[in-house]
Amino acid sequence: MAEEKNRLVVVASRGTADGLYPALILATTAVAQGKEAAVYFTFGGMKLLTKQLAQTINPSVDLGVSREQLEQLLSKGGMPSLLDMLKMAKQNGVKIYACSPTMSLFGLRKEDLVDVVDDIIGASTFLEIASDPKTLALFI
Amino acid sequence: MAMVKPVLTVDVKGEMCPMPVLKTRQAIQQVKVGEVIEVVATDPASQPDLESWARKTGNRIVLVETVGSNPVVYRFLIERVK
Repeated sequence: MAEEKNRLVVVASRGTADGLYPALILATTAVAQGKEAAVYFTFGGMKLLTKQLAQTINPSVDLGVSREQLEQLLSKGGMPSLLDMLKMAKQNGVKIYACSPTMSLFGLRKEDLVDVVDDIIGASTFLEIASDPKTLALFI
Repeated sequence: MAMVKPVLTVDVKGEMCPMPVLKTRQAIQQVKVGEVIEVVATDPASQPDLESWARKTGNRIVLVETVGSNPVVYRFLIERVK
């Protein structure tokens, strides 16, 4: 009998660097701790999964630094770019889910997405995943 | 125990969370059960984070020490348990 693992699911809803890094950091760290992990990208967060937009993500105004400044600070701390962080998460076993309603809203097709997406799911599937008693769900 | 010789060193000095934990995990997967790796880090969160990681994954921190100042370097010896 397979032992059921603890799982972390993160909803990444913001299309800013400071919205997306924490989601990827937490999910990747969860896998390193032996948990299962998934990130559900929705609304602004879907920018990172969209080929044409993935390289254009800026920090939020709230963070108060420019994109160039943030990139410098992050690389000083050995932190990969957002897209590399996404690929690293995927390689480490984080499941990557794209939000189907967001795709409908913005007319995105599967071919428009970065090649890391495990599945395109909607609210119902997400809630089923998040409702498992061994799952911790966070909204970022 | 102080004589334990690490088979691998992970140098994450200057790197921020989550890199110390991620690179420690990669390293521990490269060594055999019972072998010890050394991790050197400057991130002040590396101690609580690696202790938590060890508890969750069942690996054992054999030694934690701080070396020097400005910046303080945290040195860990971690045994792969499973």
